[in-house]
Amino acid sequence: MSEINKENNNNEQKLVNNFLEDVKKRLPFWIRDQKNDVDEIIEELENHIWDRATELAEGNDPSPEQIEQVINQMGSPGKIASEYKRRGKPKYFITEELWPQYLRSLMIFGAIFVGLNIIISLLRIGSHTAGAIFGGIFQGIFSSLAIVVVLTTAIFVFLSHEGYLPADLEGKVPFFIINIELCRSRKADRAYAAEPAVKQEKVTVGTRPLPRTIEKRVYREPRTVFVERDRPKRAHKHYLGRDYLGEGISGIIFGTVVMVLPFMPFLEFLAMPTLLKYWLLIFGGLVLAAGLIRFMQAIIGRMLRFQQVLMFFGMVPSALNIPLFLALKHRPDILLTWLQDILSKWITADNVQLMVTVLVWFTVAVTALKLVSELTRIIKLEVNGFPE
Amino acid sequence: MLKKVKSFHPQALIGDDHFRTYVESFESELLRGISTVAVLQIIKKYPEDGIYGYQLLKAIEEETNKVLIIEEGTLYPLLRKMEKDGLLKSNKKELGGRPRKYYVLTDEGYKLLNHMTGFFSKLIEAIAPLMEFQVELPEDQFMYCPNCANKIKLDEITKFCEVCGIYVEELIKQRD
Repeated sequence: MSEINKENNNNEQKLVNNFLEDVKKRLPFWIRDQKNDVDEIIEELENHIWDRATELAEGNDPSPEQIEQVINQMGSPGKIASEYKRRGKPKYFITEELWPQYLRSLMIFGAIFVGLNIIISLLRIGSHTAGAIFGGIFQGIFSSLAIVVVLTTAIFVFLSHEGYLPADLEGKVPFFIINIELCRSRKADRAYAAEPAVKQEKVTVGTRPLPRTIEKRVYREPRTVFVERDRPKRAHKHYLGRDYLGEGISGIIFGTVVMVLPFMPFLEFLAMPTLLKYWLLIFGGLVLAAGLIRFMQAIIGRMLRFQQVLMFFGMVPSALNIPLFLALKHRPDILLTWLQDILSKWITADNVQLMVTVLVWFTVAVTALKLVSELTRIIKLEVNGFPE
Repeated sequence: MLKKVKSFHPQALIGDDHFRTYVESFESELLRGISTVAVLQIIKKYPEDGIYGYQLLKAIEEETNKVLIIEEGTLYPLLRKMEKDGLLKSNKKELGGRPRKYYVLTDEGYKLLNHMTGFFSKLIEAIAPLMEFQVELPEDQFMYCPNCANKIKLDEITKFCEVCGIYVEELIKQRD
């Protein structure tokens, strides 16, 4: 081959290589991660260019113009690469395949940020007023949830646009986000609750005219046979290992009693201060609200999302107990003065104050632990689903 | 088809960007599904050696009198997707120069193609009166599953539809 021919061939190869390099750069990340796949795609496109160009050159070595013509016909590198991204069914801006992972990410990161906010707020107890702590919790929760929603949505819109499927994310993001088995719908959850327990049942198959709905049994010969049928298992009474119905009913009764009792005429002899009566009214209201939410949880049963939303709402009245009890410590006129008066015959004022302080801190600690445990339960529910 | 239109009057309907885009997107949506069936039908003709991308492109053009033209930018991703989905398998062979990827149908691909062809045929038959043309399906050679429209060859002894599992033996006998 002459020097001129060699140089021409190099130019043509360079044109092809530049084009293919551009395509390679624009391929989605999930393909670029797999070198063999990229090599195969590029090799196939390169073969195509040479085949088409050779045809244009009527079997001779193609000229750079012919190569360019073929490349122009193929379309831009971006357009070719975008065809490889075309995966998944669009659902809004996020594909249907990634939708469960998107919701899981929102739930998990949202719960983590809410938890962090509550923990940080608890650490501020003592150094800040109840109002500042309470306001801080909500401000923190709102701003961090907004950040979580915006960032997570942006990431999933990008992944959908790039044609990622859940399987491509395996090993790249935490398992609890990607676990496909766990990303099932509520409908699938209910189906899951009915795990098959083998039961023998006598059925006659294939002897009647063809049914409209086709079942798997049509694979059998037309005769009487014994088949193994799925028998639904009874759903667990206590979805999360807890008696929500009992908790709900007792919360409703106790909350109502606490709200009403201070205003009953037969207790007037106690001479409760008005502030204490209203404090009890608020406390009873919070217990009642928590009880109602528990009751609703017991009624809705194994509906994953609803359970999680209700558990989250259930945390609100519990969290409000913290500033409510801290108010007892900061405002002696609510409870302390009155208690000191009525117990003065038996207990010294200092001891009564100590008792109230212990009660307040004990309640705050228990409530904080309950909040953390409820948050953990929401995340566990997201990761593991309902216990079998 | 619109992509083949090299020139048009500026005052024609497709001179308006909105309508041209509308027609283009309609055609590309319609062609997407049809291209899949056409590609699989051509590959089906090469059960032994298989067929490589460029050869396939040419074959489609020839078989359809250049009416159905699949762009190369669409074809290769489509082949890759069908291979990943288990409809096709490929072998790298060096026949006549370059090493090329030759595609053949898998068993599942063959069955799904029958279903797609059956569905497509019944669809065309059903909408034909609306479009003011007639379609006569070769029902003397094939039956179309009453449940899923799968195309079943009458001389192939079968009891059940390979796609939906419906019991079809009696139906085939009734036709005889």
